Amino acid sequence: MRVAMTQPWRRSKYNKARAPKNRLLVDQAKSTNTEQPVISTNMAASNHSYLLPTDILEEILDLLPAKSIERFRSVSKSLLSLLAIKFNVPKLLYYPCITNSSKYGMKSSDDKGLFTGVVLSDYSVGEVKNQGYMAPELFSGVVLSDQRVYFFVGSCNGLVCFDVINHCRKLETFVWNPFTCICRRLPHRNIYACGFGFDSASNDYKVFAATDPLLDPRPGDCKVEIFSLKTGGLLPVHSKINLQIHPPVTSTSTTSPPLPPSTQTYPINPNQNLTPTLPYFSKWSRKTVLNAIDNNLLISIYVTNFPARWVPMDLHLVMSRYGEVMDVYIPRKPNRDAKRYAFVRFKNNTPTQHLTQRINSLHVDGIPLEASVAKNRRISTGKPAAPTNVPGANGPGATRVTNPNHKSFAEAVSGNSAGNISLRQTTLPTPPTLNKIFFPKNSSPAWLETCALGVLKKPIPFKSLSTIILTNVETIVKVLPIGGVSFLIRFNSSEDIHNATSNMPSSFKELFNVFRPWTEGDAAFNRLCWVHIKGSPPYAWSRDFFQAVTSRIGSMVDWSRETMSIDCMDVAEILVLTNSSCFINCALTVSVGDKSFDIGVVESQSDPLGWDWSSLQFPRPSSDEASLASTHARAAHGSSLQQRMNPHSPPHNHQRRFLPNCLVSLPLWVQTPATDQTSNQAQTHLTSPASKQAQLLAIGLNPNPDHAHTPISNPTSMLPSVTQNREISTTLSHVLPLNPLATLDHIRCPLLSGMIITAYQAHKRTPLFKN
Amino acid sequence: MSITTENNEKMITLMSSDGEEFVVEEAVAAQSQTIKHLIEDGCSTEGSIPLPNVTGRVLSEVIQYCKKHSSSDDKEEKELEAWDAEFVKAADDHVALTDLMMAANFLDIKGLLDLVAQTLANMITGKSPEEVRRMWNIKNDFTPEEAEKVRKENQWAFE
Repeated sequence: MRVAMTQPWRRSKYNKARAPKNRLLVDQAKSTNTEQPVISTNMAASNHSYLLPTDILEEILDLLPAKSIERFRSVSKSLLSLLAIKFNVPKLLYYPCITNSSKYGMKSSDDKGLFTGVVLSDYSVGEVKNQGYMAPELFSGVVLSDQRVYFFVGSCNGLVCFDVINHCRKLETFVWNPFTCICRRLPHRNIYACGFGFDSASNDYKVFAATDPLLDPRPGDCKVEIFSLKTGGLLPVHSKINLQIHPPVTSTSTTSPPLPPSTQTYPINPNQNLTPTLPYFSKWSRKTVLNAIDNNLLISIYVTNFPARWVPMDLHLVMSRYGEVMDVYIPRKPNRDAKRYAFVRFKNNTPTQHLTQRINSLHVDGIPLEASVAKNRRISTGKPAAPTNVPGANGPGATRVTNPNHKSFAEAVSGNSAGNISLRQTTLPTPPTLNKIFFPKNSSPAWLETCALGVLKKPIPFKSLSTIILTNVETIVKVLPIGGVSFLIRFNSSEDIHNATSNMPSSFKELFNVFRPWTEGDAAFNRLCWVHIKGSPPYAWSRDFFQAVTSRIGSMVDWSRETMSIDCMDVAEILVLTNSSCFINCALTVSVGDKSFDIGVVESQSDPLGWDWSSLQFPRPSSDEASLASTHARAAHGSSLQQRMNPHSPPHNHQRRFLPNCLVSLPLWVQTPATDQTSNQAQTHLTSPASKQAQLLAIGLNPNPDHAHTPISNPTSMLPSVTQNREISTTLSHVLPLNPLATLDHIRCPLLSGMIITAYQAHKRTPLFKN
Repeated sequence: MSITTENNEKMITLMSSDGEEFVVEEAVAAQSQTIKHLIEDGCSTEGSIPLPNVTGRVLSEVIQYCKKHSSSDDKEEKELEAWDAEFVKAADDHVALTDLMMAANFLDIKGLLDLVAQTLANMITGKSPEEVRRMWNIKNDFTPEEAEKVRKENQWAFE
């Protein structure tokens, strides 16, 4: 009877769930040492085992303050490893913990979306639920009587800043030190905080707040405010001017970080090396740099062709993709071709050739950067060491190529300027070499009668599929991919198909959604597929060109983001609607102007419907009307495709959902006086209503709301609020977003850091104005 | 086997690991999610529910807690808190508390689990690693060098 009773209980799922996960300590004792653990008299007297299961231990550890957790790391190895997994704090900032409160936001006992992690060093919080409810007891410094919605704003040096909407629907901003449980409320303004950072110039933590430009019905009324934690009050907005006067701050790791001012509130261990809010350019003397290059500590790369508006920080951020950037130097004087150039010093741990190749392949605003190893290092005469110059067109739009590898490109651009390329002249000579035949509707070959159509449940590599199929059924002769997840399976005879379909192997049932004899319509259906186009000439890189190329196989529907942004020029990924049931794999000869190119068109194995639509919707880096408009069109197109190609469906409207997160630490780039015309145009353009809509589309697309700490790299979305504020625009004539190409991964600076850059710029330019 | 009292209250028999049997009202026993599921699965109709992980001494304490918390729905919360404090105080040492916690974990009684975990956490908050080792009989498997290294990394916690 006993056995019968225990049976169901053993099987039950709750029992499983509650069973100790892992007798960690037992394992540890066994594996490390065969000795019996020393049993204290107390233990020996009571007849129990005190090896705690991990899950029980976790329950207790959750409730401990930071200090105790850190101390208990040295209890035993097993506890150390448990804590390392649970409290993953590689760079936990060592805020001394005030132990009067045992809670520091590790985990709440209920599931109300609290901080479930530990605040790590700069910018990242272990796990932060985006929009949840915060339990009142989490704020030991503030009395909260009920639950409120909160939005994570940013974290810096272990401090967390967040907005809270209270029960009166008023917005409040808090800065919180999770380790000391001290929470400070900023002066109440009912305005969203959207950036939080440490301003090393004034030793102060600052919060930038702005009214939401997209939610505010009257765009002229945007407010921008800066809070200072040092003074505890609001800074006047034009205190930015004060910031600008500050000389640039070097914060290389050698200098000990400045202590924050109010040490009682935010005590910081001075031994802890505060990571600077932004990597900074060294103010190394020329001698130091030359010595470093001589000793092979640094590689100096000459870079040109970058946009005229770029400041060293822009280059720094772009170049840190490729290696550890130690220094960026942009001489004030242009080179002999009246172009700005820069020396970027990398740490000598990257292969040089690789480095220059990768930089050369980077396009900024559609123009390739140009890089080479600096040939003549800067010498004491101060002559800039520009590499060989090729005479040619001037101006930001012109591309000069000094690298012999780029010869064809150079010819194309300098020989016949890009305007001469007429895509109407694009000819597709017949017959193209087709490796596989297309079969039109009415002339299907006879062997199709012995074929079956199989549609896979999920995409698997073609090779493994054919292995499975060919080993399972002997009568199968061939497997032919016809795009996407559909395959033609050719049998010996049509009888074999019926045999196979009537008693299908079980492996087939798992593999295929559809498995049936081929019918006439199968060859004529339209399907979506991605094709890779290889070998297309760079200067012809445009939608029209690809439309012309793909017109042989179907109609072009879309192109991938990489292709659109010219991020990767060796392969263009195009989504086509084709009626070819064959796997597309052909070579075409295309003539552009008087030149002919062989272009390969190969179908991609990826499932066209598995395309990540959200990634389509970032705008192009340049801010001209056409591209924004096309972004808009593309976004609309993407949505309609998602709805099974229904052309009348309205585009999805999901912009506002993630809006507060989008405002999280938006990098805003502030630059003092406008010098070039293009930037001004960009500014006026971005405030126009049409482009605002495109921005709306762009901003709603925070693809992953779980990563609120990753800044959304769409700086343009912040522009209206700032440029429309007259007070700012008088002091700062324009606001520039960083090129999104560069921002996607690398901008991690809160807004305030942008102002430090401003300071840098202002400082550099001051002598110019005096002259 | 289910017995019905005069209040029409269904009674459940729980059997501890050392064979002691406890007859409790269903409402009391159902505080434990584990037992609740067992009842729903129909185990209780055939006889006593065996709880092989819980000794009689601990089970009596658990039942005491459950009784208090099932009967005091509309009572003052403060009173209940005070009772909880007394309850964990009565368990006096960490050995009993650890047992209680394991039982609460197995029986899935959330309130008790939280209460005991908090008590234990308060107990060890100010303790040194050596004391924690002694408390739970954890072997110190660090070599002196390793111990020094770990300690150095977390130096501030010892100050």
